[in-house]
Amino acid sequence: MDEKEIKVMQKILNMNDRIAAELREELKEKGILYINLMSSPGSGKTTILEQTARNIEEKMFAIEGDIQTTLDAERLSRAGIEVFQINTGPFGGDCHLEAGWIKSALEECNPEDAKFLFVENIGNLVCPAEFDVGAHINTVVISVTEGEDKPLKYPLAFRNSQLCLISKLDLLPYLDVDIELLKDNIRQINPRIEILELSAKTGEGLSGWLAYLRERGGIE
Amino acid sequence: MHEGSITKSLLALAEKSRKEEDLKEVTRVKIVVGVLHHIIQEVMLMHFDLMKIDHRGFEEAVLEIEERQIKLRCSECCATIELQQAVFICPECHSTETEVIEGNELYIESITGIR
Repeated sequence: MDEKEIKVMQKILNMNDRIAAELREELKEKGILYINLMSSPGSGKTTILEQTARNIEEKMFAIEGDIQTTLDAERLSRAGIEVFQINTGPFGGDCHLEAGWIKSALEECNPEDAKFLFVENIGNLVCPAEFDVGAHINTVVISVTEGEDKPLKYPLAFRNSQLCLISKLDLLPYLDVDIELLKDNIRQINPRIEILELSAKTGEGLSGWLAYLRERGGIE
Repeated sequence: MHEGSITKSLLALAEKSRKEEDLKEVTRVKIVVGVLHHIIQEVMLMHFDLMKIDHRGFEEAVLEIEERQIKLRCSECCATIELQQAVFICPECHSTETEVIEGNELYIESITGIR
């Protein structure tokens, strides 16, 4: 029996990408702005969402991704955000979220009346960038404590994002980090990315992020 | 760690092709992976060997990975540059108007098997 080579030429993640594209369109039609937050663990994603909820009147819905625990979801819930938890621990501890999981979560909780949908992706600067979850705006969060070099070390998360939030500005006086060099490195990876700086703790720069959300969300 | 999920999708797709082509046994799956995807080949091969036994006709299949480096084309000066580091600014004219022409691949090129 002869061996036969068959050309396939298909993207490996085409199923994920198809679901992601459907989600993007579906939520756009519903007038829900969908933002995917990606970062290393501990960059301040949850705190940013808590502060956002305190300053935005429109309803926010969040899908919280963690390998285990519901700690962040509990914090978001206390801040008034309706939240759905995805724990990947029981399924082998996946380090990212995929479009199909977001679709299933939305089918279960149907946040029709929300204005904003946030996915707080699993804390990891590598894997989440690989999987399109269908967001309108991919946002990478990097705290000033992480150093200037991280965009160069983990380029895909910065390359695949439209917005970068530099967080924990209040810690700058205690660090040797050069924030201009950090921004240069981000732009070397993605010259078109929008960069906002903030401290969710002190509120510095928060107004820029809130204005960005209001503008993109079509809120006067 | 994303190698596991990617391998799962890869096998599902390859299995669909095997059925469409009516192959009884697949001996080789060839994929092309750009370095931008941060895939560790050894980890991917390990996942493939662990998962293939659950896919009929793939028990003896070997995964072949072709890796592609990052290649940019500058829209300003038209230079084509192979990058050692993922910095997307043209090293020739420093333009930010560049396009990734290689290095972002993640696809199955072919499957080889017996009918």
